[in-house]
Amino acid sequence: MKNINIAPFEVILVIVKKGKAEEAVEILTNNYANFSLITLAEGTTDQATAEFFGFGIQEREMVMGLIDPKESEKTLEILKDYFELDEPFNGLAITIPIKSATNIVVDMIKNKLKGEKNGEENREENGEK
Amino acid sequence: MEKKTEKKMEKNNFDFELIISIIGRGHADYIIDATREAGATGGTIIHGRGTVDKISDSSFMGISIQPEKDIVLTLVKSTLKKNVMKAISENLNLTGKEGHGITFSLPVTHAVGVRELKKDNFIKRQLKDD
Repeated sequence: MKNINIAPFEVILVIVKKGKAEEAVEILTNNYANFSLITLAEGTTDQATAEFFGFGIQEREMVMGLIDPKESEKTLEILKDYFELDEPFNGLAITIPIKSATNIVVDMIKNKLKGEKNGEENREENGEK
Repeated sequence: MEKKTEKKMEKNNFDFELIISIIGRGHADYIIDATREAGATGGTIIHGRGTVDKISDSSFMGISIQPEKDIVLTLVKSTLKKNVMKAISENLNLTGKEGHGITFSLPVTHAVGVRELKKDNFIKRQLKDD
């Protein structure tokens, strides 16, 4: 499958149940998505279904972080498995492309990408595949 | 790199869009109802504080009045985006002066946990090269 890299950086948004944001931050941190911000949020899923299960507006936490686009797919898979995001009312995770950003983390990602690019060039020069 | 990014983003071929609406505190329910009628499954509300309103500098009986805002995040399919944003826009006009706000959308490259597409557990879009 073709790798989708349309932007140099991506913002990753993870919305999970209240109290689980710290776990999401840990996963993000382990996957090169530092500088995570946690905010409180309210989930408003399908009201009829929610009332059937006995709850209306649910308390949520939203985690926002900056991530290398090459790592985003893998990270979303990990988040999906860990928080069981396939199931209803468990939350969701998305990535949004951004054109530019200023932060020390940005420099880290840039250096990482630059290092990978140089590595590929060196391998090509050495005749390695 | 930037030109390439701009060109690809201009295509606007994303599977999902994140609609962000910023409105006065307490009006989030109107947005949720409108987006639901237009086809969205739900939304997430976070709280914020505006800085544009003139009221931000005012105080009443020595108590400062803060222009509190609700921020509604709605993840929708790209095909629904226009209808949902139109519904939000119409709804904002209906709610009166206090309910005025802004709404905009951002492209989403990857998404997991979207209920409508449970069968496709991992939604990954592929850009079509010309």
